[in-house]
Amino acid sequence: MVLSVVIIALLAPWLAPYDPLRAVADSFGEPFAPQHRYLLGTDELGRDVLSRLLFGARISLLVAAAATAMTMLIGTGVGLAAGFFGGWIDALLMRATDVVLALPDLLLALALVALIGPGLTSILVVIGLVRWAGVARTVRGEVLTLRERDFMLAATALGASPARVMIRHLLPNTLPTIIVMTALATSGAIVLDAGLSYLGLGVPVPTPSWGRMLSDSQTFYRSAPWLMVFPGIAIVYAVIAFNFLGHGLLALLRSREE
Amino acid sequence: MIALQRIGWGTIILFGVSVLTFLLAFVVPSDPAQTVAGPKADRETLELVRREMGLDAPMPIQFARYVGRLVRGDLGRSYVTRQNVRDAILERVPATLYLALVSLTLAVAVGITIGVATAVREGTSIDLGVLVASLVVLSLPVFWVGILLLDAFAFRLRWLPLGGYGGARFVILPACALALGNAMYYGRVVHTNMRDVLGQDYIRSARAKGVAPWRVCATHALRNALIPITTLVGLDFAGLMGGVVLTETVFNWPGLGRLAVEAVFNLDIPVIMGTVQLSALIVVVVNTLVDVLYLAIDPRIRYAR
Repeated sequence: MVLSVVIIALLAPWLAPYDPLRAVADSFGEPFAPQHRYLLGTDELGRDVLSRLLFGARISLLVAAAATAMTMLIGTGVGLAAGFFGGWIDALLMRATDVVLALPDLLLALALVALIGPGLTSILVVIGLVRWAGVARTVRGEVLTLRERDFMLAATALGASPARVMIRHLLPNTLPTIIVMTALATSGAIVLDAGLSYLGLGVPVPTPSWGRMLSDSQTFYRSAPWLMVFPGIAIVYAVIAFNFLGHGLLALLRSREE
Repeated sequence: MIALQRIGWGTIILFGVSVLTFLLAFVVPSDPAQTVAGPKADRETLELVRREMGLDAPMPIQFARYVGRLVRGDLGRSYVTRQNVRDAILERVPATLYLALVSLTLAVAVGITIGVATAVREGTSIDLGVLVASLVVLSLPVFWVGILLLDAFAFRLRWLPLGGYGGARFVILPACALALGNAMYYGRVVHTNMRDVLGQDYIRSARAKGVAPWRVCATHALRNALIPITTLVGLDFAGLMGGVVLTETVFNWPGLGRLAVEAVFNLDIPVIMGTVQLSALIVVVVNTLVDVLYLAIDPRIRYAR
């Protein structure tokens, strides 16, 4: 049930690049209302809203996927290492995590963007870098519980090297939690990306981006209110899809453990 | 004692934050001296500015100076407005504080009400409906909610002003936008906790003694459910202080968030660093406070140690 929502969100971009993202209609300066030819209307520069939404989906998902990959990589790596090695490595890594956690998401993202400059790659990197700390913490918690289990002691007793133990034993067992976190992290990344784009710090101008579509639409709230609604719905839809996925997986996990 | 330990960690974290902020500022491609001196400055002026700002010293020394200034509360001077960063920030803090407090109060009030109401009616369709609704509402991006609220209440109905700073009429929309998601979250937490508590023995004995069910709820169950809420509120407050950026932008609220955004657009490094530093400070302080308070409130933790 939940998965179908996700699949729709994922396939939509490839399903219908309806119109190109350049201007299609001649509604320059005066957006068209939703009508037959332009299902969701057009924006102030004559571009079809529906196509922009769909291409925006591509961009948002691309950013979210790449950023989440980075977040999960760093977070899992740190969490695994901290939980497994313990001792001073753990303390050091955890303090670093706390430092990053102390800074609110958006603010840190803002600061990083200011330094690196806007653009697609920098957005990816920034969003990826901002959120790894939470993941690291949770993964470490998991590792700490797992560490005492028999198969761990057995593996080390049999002489497996630390790397081997981590990869072949810890990782598969933490995988369920990691998957859940990935789903939730993706939804967070989408929101963060939308927020950054709204502020104007996202992908550069002609490329459609849901957040930026929202901020652009504000000038036209009087004449073209639908411009404000649709990108928002798109964002909500995608975010809900991943949130439901994550929570559904979480419930699944919990019931399996019982 | 544990409280001291927490405070110790807090200080270390703050130090780490200052290192991070400093390093970040160092990585900046733009040359601060250039920004301050202006695009038409000649080489000599640049050198002068550079020396005046202390940019010619090696990095560790600059860092030491930075920390020294930090400890004294000096956050530097804005590149753009030449105003003292600390003053600029302090100017904006009350606004953000105001918004954060109102929003949190709203969120807690609504959240607790929802949580209790659903916990009592457990398993019914109301409970399930609220659960789904909560998840949906949680997923709504704050700034979108803000825009919609503005459109609906300010523009169409003309009940409330279109943004800006002021008293109750001005603050209610942004506070609602912020509070919505949190309220849903608190609602869930209270719900889960109430359920756990309501199933326990001492509740049953209270009921058996003949205490009216309403009183049972209010006095016994609620008190226990409130403990995690306090931690959450503390954490959220800290997060809010730094993170109201989007809401402030939508509603034209003159707070810290907007200061940060403007600074980013102007590449005004000292202000950016100052805001980040301050947010981290607030977060760490509040977290440590919450940790210590938690130890005091929940005796189980104390004894477990």
